[in-house]
Amino acid sequence: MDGIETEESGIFLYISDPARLKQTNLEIVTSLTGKDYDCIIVTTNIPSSLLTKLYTKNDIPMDRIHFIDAITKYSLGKVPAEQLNTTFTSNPGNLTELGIAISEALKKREGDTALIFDSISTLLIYLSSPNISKFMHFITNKIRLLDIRAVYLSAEKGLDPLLLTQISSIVDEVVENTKE
Amino acid sequence: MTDTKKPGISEYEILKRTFNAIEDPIFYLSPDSTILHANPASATLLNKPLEEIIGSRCYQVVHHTTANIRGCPFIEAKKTKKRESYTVNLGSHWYQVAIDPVLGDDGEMVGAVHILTNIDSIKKIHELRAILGAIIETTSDPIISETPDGHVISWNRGAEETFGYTADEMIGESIQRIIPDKLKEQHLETLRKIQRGERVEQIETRRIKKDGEEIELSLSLSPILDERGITTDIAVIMHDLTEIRKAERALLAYITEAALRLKNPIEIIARSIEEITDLHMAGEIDDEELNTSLMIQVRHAEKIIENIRELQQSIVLELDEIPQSYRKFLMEEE
Repeated sequence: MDGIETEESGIFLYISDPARLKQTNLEIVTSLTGKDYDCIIVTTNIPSSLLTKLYTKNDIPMDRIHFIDAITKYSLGKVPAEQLNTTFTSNPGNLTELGIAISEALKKREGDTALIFDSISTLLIYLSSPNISKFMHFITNKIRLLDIRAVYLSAEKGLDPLLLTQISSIVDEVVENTKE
Repeated sequence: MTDTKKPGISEYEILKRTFNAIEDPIFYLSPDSTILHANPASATLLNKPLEEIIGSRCYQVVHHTTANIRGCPFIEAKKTKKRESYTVNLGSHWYQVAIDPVLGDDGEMVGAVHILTNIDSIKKIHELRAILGAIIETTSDPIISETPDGHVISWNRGAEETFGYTADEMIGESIQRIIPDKLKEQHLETLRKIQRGERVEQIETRRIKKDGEEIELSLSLSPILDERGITTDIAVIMHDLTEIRKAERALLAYITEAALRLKNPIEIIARSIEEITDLHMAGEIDDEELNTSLMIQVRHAEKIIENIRELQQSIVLELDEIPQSYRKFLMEEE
């Protein structure tokens, strides 16, 4: 975990073995909350309810976590009755809704904040590479203006070469976390 | 050497011996087509003894007809009193026949010398050239020849079809006309190589069509050498790669898309299901959470199937090369 351990703000692309994506997510959130960062977690694969359980089990302070869950409502057609600090969007492919949710969450931030996007590779199931590239540019510009931290997660070989090049060019560092 | 100085050999005898030694058949005919003289090569040609040939009419022994053949150059020479020639096939050989009339004091023809020259090798070369010419002319690949300084000498139909310029428009013109500016220097360097007698095989490059479109093609350039080994011309064989490259790019795009839309997402699904199962087995998630997590993976899988259908559809609609039976199969899958 080289990139996120630094003290400075910045944007990182973490490329992880698909089997380690969840673990990478956990390690990043543990590290950031340990440094008193509030974390906005955008999830397109693991339901926020499951992540809540995972974080709680690993003693992550849940008052520092805000989820933007783009998959639960789409998959179940409904959202859990009582789940605090979570914004549910209707569909991972609806970038307008996702963009608004991220903007709203960033507006509400207090203190040091980090955005964790888990994951770009799952988003590719729902969207074309050019659309993802445009969206990530949009999000990155927002983060740069706010001077906060961000981590984009992707499964290893989960991005086509052009998209990987495009995303790599807008982040500060690419961290390959592909081996146990 | 000493024999030739013998005073006993007359000029007539020398000429007679020469006549007999010549390997080309020679006849001397009277105005009525009677063979008055023939050399031994004539006997070999007609496969008859000289005694049978001499005194016979030319058309009887040569053409096996009862009169002079139509268009007989001997008859023509009688009229023109000039050399006439034609080619004739005798047996399995081709001959160039030259008829030289011998004129009397009154200017009328008193006889004619027929000399037959075997032209089998020339004929074969001509036939081979005709075949090669037909191949070059009918192939769809551009085949051209140019001078060592790059001026077009020949421009086949394939070149006309590929570049849009006719042979009339290109012959005599510089080949630089179809070369993109950025590649002109490279082409001059290639010409210098050819002038040194080197062959240049399979360069992949670009050329410009008459309508301005740039196309990708492969080139092979070979020097055409004279008997001294000096490059007199350059033969250029081209093959239009535009369609191949287009298909390769489509294939690459398809493979990339298939990997992204199928292999990698399925890998994510497989890992996720594995994790969910492990968590459930360990009692870390309850049945409801298991169900939620599995439903997410089901929706991912459904989306992947939808993506593959879209990919199939775009291939069916965009690629003409797909056989009809496969096209039907893919469309039914829609």
